[in-house]
Amino acid sequence: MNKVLIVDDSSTMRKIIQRVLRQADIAVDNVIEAANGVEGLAALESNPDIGLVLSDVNMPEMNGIDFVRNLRTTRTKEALPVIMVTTEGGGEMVNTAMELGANGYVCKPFTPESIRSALEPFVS
Amino acid sequence: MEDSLEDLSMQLSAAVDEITASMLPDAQFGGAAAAVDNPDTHRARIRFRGPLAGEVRLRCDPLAADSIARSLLMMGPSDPMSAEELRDALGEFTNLVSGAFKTRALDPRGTYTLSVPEWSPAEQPASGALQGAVGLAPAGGLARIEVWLDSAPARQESPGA
Repeated sequence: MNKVLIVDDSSTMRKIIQRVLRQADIAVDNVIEAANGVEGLAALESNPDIGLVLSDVNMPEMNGIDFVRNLRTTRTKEALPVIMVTTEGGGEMVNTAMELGANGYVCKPFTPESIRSALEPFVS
Repeated sequence: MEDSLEDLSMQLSAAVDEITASMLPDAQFGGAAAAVDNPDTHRARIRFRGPLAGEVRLRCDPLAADSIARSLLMMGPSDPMSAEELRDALGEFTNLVSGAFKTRALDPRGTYTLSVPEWSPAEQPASGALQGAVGLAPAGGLARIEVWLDSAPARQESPGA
């Protein structure tokens, strides 16, 4: 996979996700970071070759729900998989994100195994 | 609310246990959830809103704060860590505990939303009722995680600290 976009308002969680991607042996050439949905949309605009998005749900400025809603106006689920990474597994916000076009979700705290399981359908 | 609020304290303890087991395996539970309150105490909180409203609070002394942050960030004891990294890590730790607490204790009671982490250099005023507290002793420091409810229901139990 060439590029992955990680959208999370916590720089700590962005680092943890990158570390766990490595531990899960998911090969990523380049990671782009964004701190909220607004930055995420801008990153997608300037990096059209991003192949996978991992997004938090609960963020300031633009949350993960509105982020998915916005990006699905231009990118289909098949063209750009989006996995929600959230503390709120099974909660209403995650269900809403799935209805709006998220491809899956993984709950925090996660393990290399749970990340691999969530991403497996979308990475080669 | 028909069911006992004692459950909130137990679920907070279970949530802290879940997060520390996966993210802070070296942390030890403190027996008495000792008070952590002095001028250099680090404080973070997450608000929750739904049928019940309140917050999950983290307070920790500098040693515990440093230990929690370095564990989350996988930093060695001599790796440089900025104040912003420390603050963000403590906020994320509070967020993780709050998420686990929400899944265990709040979601079965209705629809809830969580705030993003907030930090305070000073003690937040006690605007509600303490429902439970859990102590942690990471690397010899002291940390205390509490759950508060904004308004005490009629069947409120005494604080579980």
